[in-house]
Amino acid sequence: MRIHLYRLICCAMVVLAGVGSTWAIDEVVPVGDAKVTLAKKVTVGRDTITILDGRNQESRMPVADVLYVKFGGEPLELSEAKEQTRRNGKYEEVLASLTKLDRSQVTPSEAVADLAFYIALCRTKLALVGKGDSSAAGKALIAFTRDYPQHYTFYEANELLGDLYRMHKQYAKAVKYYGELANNKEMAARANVLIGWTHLEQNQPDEAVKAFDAALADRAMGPSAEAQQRLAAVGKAACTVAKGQAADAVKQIEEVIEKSPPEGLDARMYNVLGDAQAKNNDAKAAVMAYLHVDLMYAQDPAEHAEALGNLKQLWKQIGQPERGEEANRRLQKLYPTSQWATR
Amino acid sequence: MSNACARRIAIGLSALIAAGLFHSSATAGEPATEFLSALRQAGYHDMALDYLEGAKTSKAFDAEFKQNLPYELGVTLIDMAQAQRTERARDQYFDRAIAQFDGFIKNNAGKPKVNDARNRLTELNVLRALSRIERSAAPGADKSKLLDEAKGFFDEAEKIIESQKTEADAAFAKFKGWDEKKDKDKEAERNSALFDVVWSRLQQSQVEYMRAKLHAAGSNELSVQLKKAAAAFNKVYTDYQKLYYYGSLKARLGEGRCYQDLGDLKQAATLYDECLGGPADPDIFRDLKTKTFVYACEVWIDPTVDKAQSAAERGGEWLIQARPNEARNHDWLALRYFVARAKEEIVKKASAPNPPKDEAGTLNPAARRAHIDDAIRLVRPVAAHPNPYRTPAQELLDRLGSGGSDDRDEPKSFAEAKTRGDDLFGSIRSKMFLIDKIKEDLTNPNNTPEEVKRMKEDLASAEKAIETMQPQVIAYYRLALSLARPSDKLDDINTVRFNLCLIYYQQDKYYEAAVIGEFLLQRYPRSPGGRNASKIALASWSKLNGERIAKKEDNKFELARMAGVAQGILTTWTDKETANDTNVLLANIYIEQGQYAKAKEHLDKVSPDFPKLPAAKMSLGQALSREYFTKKRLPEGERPDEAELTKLMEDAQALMEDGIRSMDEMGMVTPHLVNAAYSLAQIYIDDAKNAKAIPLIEHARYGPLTLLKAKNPVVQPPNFKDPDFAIATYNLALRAYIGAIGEDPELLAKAEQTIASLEKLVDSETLLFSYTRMAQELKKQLADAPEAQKQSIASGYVKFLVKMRDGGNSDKYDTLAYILKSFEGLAEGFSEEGKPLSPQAKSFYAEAVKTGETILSLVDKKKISPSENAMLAVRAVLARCASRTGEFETALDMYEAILEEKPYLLSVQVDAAMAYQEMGRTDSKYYKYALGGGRPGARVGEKAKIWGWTQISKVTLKNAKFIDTFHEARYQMAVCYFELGRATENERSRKIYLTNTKKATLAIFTQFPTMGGTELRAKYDRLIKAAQKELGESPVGLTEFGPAPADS
Repeated sequence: MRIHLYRLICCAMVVLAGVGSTWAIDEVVPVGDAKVTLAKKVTVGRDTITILDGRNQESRMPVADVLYVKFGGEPLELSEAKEQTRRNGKYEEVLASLTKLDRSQVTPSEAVADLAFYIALCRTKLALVGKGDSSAAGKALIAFTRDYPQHYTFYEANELLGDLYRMHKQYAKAVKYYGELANNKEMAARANVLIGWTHLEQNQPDEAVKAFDAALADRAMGPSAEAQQRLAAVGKAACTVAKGQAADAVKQIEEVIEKSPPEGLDARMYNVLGDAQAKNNDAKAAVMAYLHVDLMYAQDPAEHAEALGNLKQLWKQIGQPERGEEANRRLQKLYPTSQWATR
Repeated sequence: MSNACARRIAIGLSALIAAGLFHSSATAGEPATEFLSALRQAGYHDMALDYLEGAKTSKAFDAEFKQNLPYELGVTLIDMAQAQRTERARDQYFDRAIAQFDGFIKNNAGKPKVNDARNRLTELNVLRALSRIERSAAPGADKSKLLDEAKGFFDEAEKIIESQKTEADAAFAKFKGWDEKKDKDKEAERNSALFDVVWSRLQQSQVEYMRAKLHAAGSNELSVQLKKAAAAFNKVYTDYQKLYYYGSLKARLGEGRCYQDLGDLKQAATLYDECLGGPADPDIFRDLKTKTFVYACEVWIDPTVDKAQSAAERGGEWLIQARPNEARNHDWLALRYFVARAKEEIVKKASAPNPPKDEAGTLNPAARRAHIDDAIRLVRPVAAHPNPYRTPAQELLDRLGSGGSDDRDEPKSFAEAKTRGDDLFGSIRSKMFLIDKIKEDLTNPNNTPEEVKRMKEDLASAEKAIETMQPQVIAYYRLALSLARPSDKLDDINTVRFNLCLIYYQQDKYYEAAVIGEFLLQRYPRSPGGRNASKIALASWSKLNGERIAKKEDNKFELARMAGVAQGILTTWTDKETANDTNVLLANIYIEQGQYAKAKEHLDKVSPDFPKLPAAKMSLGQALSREYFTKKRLPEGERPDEAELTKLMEDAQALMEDGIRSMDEMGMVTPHLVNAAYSLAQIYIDDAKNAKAIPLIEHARYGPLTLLKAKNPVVQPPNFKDPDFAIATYNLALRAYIGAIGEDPELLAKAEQTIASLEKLVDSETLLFSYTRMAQELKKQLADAPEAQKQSIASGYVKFLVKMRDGGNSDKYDTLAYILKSFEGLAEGFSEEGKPLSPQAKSFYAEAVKTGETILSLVDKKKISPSENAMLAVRAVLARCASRTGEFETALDMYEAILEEKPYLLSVQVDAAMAYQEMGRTDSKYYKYALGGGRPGARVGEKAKIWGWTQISKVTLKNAKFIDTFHEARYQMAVCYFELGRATENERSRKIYLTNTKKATLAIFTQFPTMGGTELRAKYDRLIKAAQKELGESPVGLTEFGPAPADS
């Protein structure tokens, strides 16, 4: 019950406030619904992070399960940036805030690496929807991977590089960077999922299915691994759409949604569902699917742009042209240079 | 109380209820509750209803959600009710919601959600009470009755809460002596019971608060009631602060609202500050904090509290926490509004004559501008989306956007000017949305007069605001374009261009809109507004084209521009929808230009299932059939060969048959389909294929006659004008039947029945008009029919007409008039211009005369008494018959007698002039009378009764209604000159007459480029060639006068 939970949190904070007055506290925010871990010290590595708790006991967490880490003493803007990008998708505002920071004044050293990463992350996410320079974003990422090869966001940086190359249809390079994730056993499934989507974009559904099946067969456990399995299942459904079996794909995706925990649902699932419904000639159901993205999962700009791009046509098909115009207006305003705005 | 206020209060109650939703546990699967809530917040209630409908059978929804469907439906209906503009409409939704909740409560006794349903019923009663209170404030309202009704609803809400409270207290009492450590397994149950206890008290306090609205502002009763509510909230806070922190914070917030309404803003602000000290996690606290900021900011910006700076800073900081999927959340939108208001207040304070010497007072102009720009950015989404603060947000945007602050200098850069323009443009869009909504609401037949009055006032106000803002927007955008530099983003510049294009179109400035639209199409088609701008360009040229056609002016330029833009669209955007739409449009343009092969080319590119294709095929088919008849009537030598003509008609009919088939396959019987059947039947009849026309007219599904007899709504107003459609259909049926009597004598009975139906339908005058038209069509039909069919048609008509005249209808004027005109039509159908009358034509004229004399005889015997005009018409026909059969003097006598009474009877003037022309064939002197009028042998000084062509053309020039007669007169003048020139032997006179032919033609050529239409133009061309030949010149026709007008 929420009452109980709140009191628990309050108590925990009171205790820690008492104990932690002489130390800077690090916070580990995990993927999914698990609670935040407070630590005396967090040491980051490429594959795992090491958490030293208040009793000086160490534990390890795979980087795949880490959403972000707040380092004690880091600038407030950086802490805010992590929250706003991961939870709220506010890349433009965060970029504006972080680029004003003087890097030489940032402590601790882990925060300096984080600063470099989050600036690169924001640039990339914006470039993926046509805002900002993708070349500058790529350079920032490459510099980051070169300067901080042992940082816990190393693999994510490689994934973002893969995304940039994919946007430019340089699929071989995209696969190369995605492949880097396979060097981490918890991220191997994700690597396969990303490679699967790359094949799908090249209209190679059979190769895509192989990659998705490899992800599904992965034995890694934990919320992150489960998320990848869901994405792989959705990817396979997208392959089914590509093969002209939209009705089957709808059933597949609905099954994935049915079995997902609330925090496991995301924009990709609903965008693929929307596409499948549209190809199954059910415009209303397609609108419903894309509305999930627009109203609930709009944090990822690229996914949001895709949803709006489809809604602008589909609304008209179901006799609501003014809503289609509204979707188009928002698309033009939010993502004016994305591929969906110019279609 | 304003709508916004009422809805805020309702929000308060809803929020109480919404927070209670955390009873439900998170389960796997579709996030139904959250998505449903998001749909409602976005105003997509129709989608929410569909979502709930779909949930009934979908596996993606868990059992609990499905069980709660009636509840969720009720909640959605409450939201929909609040979006209605009239109380009647709101009550209808409320009634449906009550039915859902009552059913849900009945079928789910003991389940947790039942309490939520009761809470919603409470909310509903409160909303109805607030609605009555609002209505009671309107002028002329029965205040006492409405307030009594409101009180009744409050009492009903109170009853529901009281029973909930009793149940909750009893349930919680079971946990007396509960030990946190020993009874841990019962903790969840206890917490749930505690929640219900606190919640029922909170609701009770909330209803007490709402009751205050029953009393007038500033009254003692109001103050007493608010204090009572504040005390109730305070008790909840005090009693449960340690047991249920969240509930106690909500009570504190409620208490603050009471003090706010009492005017004790300081106390309210203190209480809000206390609430703001609470946590921001988890989400229920976060949501509470957001709502608290809304109320706090409202208080802070009040001049008596004077803490606008706090509102701007603290409210602004909290706004950063908003998540992307909260963009349309009402509380976040409200907060945006109040933070924007705070900024407005800050700037106002700094701009006052004696500003304070604090931070706000020393704000420099740049800082003030930054505040205004910020405020505009904040409030724009509030003004754009449905929410309780939309109207005040729009008003705020208008104030800010129209440069309400004195510190808003003229923009100095493209970006500044664009932003100013954008803000006003956004306001205009909001107002247009409002106008559409009001117009929709006005169509409700159940609106009361006061509701209609209010809506019309709102409509006028919105339209006036748009009228004021449009020129301002144009000025800003044009300034922006003039200030644009290479460093400014091209997309932004093109967005300004597109917005300008749109506004010009909205203002009916079609040339300006078309110019900008075409520019964007040609230079920046892929810019953000490129595609839409090209559509506007097309629409603009289409409007201008329509204006030209309406004024009967030359529209070739507009058509050419339309074609150009359409081609541009086709080559730039290749998606199917655009291609289909544009190809159909181009086809229609080419049809109008007479380029039928190009039209067909474009129609062939359209997808077979495209809905607009059948109508386009019909248009082309009709155009080809008109082309067929025009070419068929050309003189020998110019007429195409029979094979070409036959192909033309076959193509025409095939297109139309295909169009009808496609429309029929679409399933529905539409007015278009009925019209199409009518048109094709008409063509069959004109082509003497009556046997094919009859099945169309009588088609069981879409035959116009079938539907007319069945009084099918498809053929009633507003789809077709009454009784025009009925007359036209009976007319058509009659022509079809009579024309086929020769092949099937049994059709005679159907023809008689049709005449009877027609006579029952309309009055005499309309009937006569109808008969006249039928006779004219008969004439045309005969002229175009091949000989064999001509005879068959004629024999059918003769049988029918003779039976009518000499049978039972022989003493009805209308019928006799029809018979008279029909015989005349038959006669003219068997006559050829310039050739002697055939025996058949003579016999028909004789029958016409016989019929006319029958009419006159019946009038003399007083057996019928047609109107004066009707009698004139009969006499005119008899005069014409006399003229046609060569009894010219008799004809002229009759014409003069008619014109003596009615000198301005144009048709008779024309007939008289034509009679002279006929006489001119044997004696050319009569051409002079045809030109100048008068009568040979008339006394000098006697006023001519017959005008002649010259006078006819002068009289008809002044009146656009008679433009066709004008052109006919001018043509005949040219013919008369030519014939005089040909007939005269004197060389000098001959040249003068022939030159006059050319002069008369040139005058028309220069002043009226269309020369009265394609047919007349062709006749002029032939005449001039003949004149040129006579003069020994090269027979180049009209090209002597200059190039033909450009085709596209």
